[in-house]
Amino acid sequence: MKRILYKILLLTLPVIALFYALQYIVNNGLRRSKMQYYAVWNDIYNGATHADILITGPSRTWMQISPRILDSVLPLNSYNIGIDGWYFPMQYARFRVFMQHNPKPKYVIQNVDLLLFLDRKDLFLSEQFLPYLGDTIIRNITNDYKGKYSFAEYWFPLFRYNNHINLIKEGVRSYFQVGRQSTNKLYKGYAGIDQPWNNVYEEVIKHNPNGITRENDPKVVKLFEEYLEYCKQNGIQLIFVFQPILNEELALEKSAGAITGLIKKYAAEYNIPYLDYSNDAICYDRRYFIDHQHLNREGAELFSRKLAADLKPVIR
Amino acid sequence: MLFNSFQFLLFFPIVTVIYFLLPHKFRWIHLLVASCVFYMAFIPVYILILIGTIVIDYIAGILIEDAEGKKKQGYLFMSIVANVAVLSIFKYYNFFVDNIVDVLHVFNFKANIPLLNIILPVGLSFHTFQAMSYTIEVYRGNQKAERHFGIYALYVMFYPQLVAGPIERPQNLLHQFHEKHEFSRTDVVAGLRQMMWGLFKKVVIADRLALLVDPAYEHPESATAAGLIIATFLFAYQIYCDFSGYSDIALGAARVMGYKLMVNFRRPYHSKSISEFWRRWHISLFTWFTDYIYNPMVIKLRNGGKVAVVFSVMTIFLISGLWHGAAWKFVIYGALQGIAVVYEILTKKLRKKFFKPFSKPVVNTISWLITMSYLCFTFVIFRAKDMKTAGYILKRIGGIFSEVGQSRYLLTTAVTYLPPLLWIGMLELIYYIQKGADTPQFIGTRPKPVRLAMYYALGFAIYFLGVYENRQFVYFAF
Repeated sequence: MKRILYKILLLTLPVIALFYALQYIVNNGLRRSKMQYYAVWNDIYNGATHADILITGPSRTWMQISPRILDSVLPLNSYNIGIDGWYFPMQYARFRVFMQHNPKPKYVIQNVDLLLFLDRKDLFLSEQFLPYLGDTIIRNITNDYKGKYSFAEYWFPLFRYNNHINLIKEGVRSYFQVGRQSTNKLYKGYAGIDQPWNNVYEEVIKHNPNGITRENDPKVVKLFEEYLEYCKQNGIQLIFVFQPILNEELALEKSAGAITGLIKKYAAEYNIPYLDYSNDAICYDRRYFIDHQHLNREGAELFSRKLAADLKPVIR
Repeated sequence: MLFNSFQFLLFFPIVTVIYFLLPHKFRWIHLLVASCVFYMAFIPVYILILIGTIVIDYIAGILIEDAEGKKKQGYLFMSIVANVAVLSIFKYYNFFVDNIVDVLHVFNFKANIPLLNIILPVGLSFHTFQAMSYTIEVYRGNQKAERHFGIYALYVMFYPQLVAGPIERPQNLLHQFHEKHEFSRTDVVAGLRQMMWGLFKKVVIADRLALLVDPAYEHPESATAAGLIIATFLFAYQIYCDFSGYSDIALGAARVMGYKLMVNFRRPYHSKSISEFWRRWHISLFTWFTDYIYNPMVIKLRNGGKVAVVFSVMTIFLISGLWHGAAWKFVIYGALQGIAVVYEILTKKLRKKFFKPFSKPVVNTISWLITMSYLCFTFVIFRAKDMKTAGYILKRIGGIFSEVGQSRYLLTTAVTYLPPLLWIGMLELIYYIQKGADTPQFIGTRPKPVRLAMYYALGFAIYFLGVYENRQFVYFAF
């Protein structure tokens, strides 16, 4: 039995060692990669955002608020850390990682909308967290979702990249700076999307003929209060922005009054400027939208210009 | 505990190493405890059902052996009733009640019979059938009653085949628990190789195919008709790789410790008739039906000619359909298999005459195509959520020619389904290269460098391309 165990070890140990070495290379390579989803995380981890104005929120933020436009109007440097598909808990986790690795921003533009106090169940776009699983904040936040990383993904070498051969390749290429390098398609975290109107909104209407009722998640509300308190304690000026939403859809939202009421209450309590674009002219024109929630590039840049102008008196 | 879980990755080597370190007289205790741990990883309380059937059949075995005549028959009858009762309560009660309520409703009776809110114990049909085969074989005098309660319990609970077979016969397995198994390098290597091959089929092929099959069958309205045809073909391979993969792991795990379990699959999709398919698919179940239902029926009805054969065939296929699950779709699935076998029996001479002018390869190809098409047709019913969905899918497939003309139709379908078809192609290529041999055995007979390369290739594929989303084996549900 000893002999066979010895043979098995002889066959597997060099491979395990090789995998650990490769994991080190891939993790570090991806931490330098310009691939979308890693580019922003890497800027945050490397303290390369140089943000006086930090913009945070979900997809409605990263594809709708252009730092290029804000920088051209405002006297300060901005950076967009909006995160695709995620609600406030993950936005807050990203903010906390930001605070660990970057100087404190003067202003934080926080997206507020009717989805603010919700959370999702699954670990959406889970690949984006893979190189950072050693980070306590990432480890804790990802543990709260369905599809969370298993013991094997944390501890078995390279196993976290199971079914992601493309990421292994990208990591190696990026680490050794060989082969085709990914280019960063985002500008300071922002990318306008050129897409025509799709039928997501029609599907929403079909599935919600009697309107949409949203119930705030108390855990998220509590977390949001913690965030407000943190910013207050640290002298960070928050600015709430309710970005444009298709006017017809807003009419479907049964809980809109209650949610915006809560947002306004926090704004008043913490002395936070509240810029509300939910009834802006953009909201009435489908030409600016991809779907009821998301602006296309034209809409995003028009909105960014309006926002920059409105921020001017707030930001000094 | 799933074979494709990380718990098992720890469980298996620990149990195996301890097994070989222990003196022979303690090994049964060790294996029994390990099997309990393995089973209790699912729903712990259900071990009580298992213990219940073990106690009943253990006592029944002794009573049957010691009794004579009608008494002997009575004990066997009681043991079978007890086993079937457990199966009926946990697996079929709700199905029966639903149907009784429906029938009463037709006659304007409103019945309020309560349903059971229970989850089917994992592998119930497998270990119940294995337990029944013991009492039947004792009754027939082919097996001595096992007096050692622990060994008998181990026969029913032996962890490699506890939850999804192979459904063993006592003549093959029981005596192996009494024998001392020395550590054998040959067995360990062969067993590990078979486990590796089984795991590859499960996590790399079956679970990968499931990623395409599941959405197509959950939302058939979103799939194209061509997509549904391919998804059905993929399902045929998914279920084969899933179940035969499980069997390979079971056989391999047992082999490492020196136990030899029966082979459960012999490349069923190489069959050229449905009858042949059932001789190659889930062999342990179909030999069970043949040994304990079909043969006794045919003997009993020996003067009935072809009618008796047809009746016996239809009986075992209807029961086998119901064995797969408590739903009408499984009954219909079983009936369709039975009808095909009956057709093959009744038209054997006619077909032979019809195909006489054709060469053997032509006949084989046509027969294979017909067999595969028919199997896939029945798999639609097997896999669909219910008969209504199966009907919808079959209707869509039937109307394929009205869809094919749509722009980019074939391109979209090909882009979606080509990669998994390549996996199937690879599997068949392996089977083709190795000719008649068993794959693990084939790997074992290659020159050392080739063998090592194959181990690494399989290992890397399992590690990097396997799907690990806590996917259960399909047959666990039965």
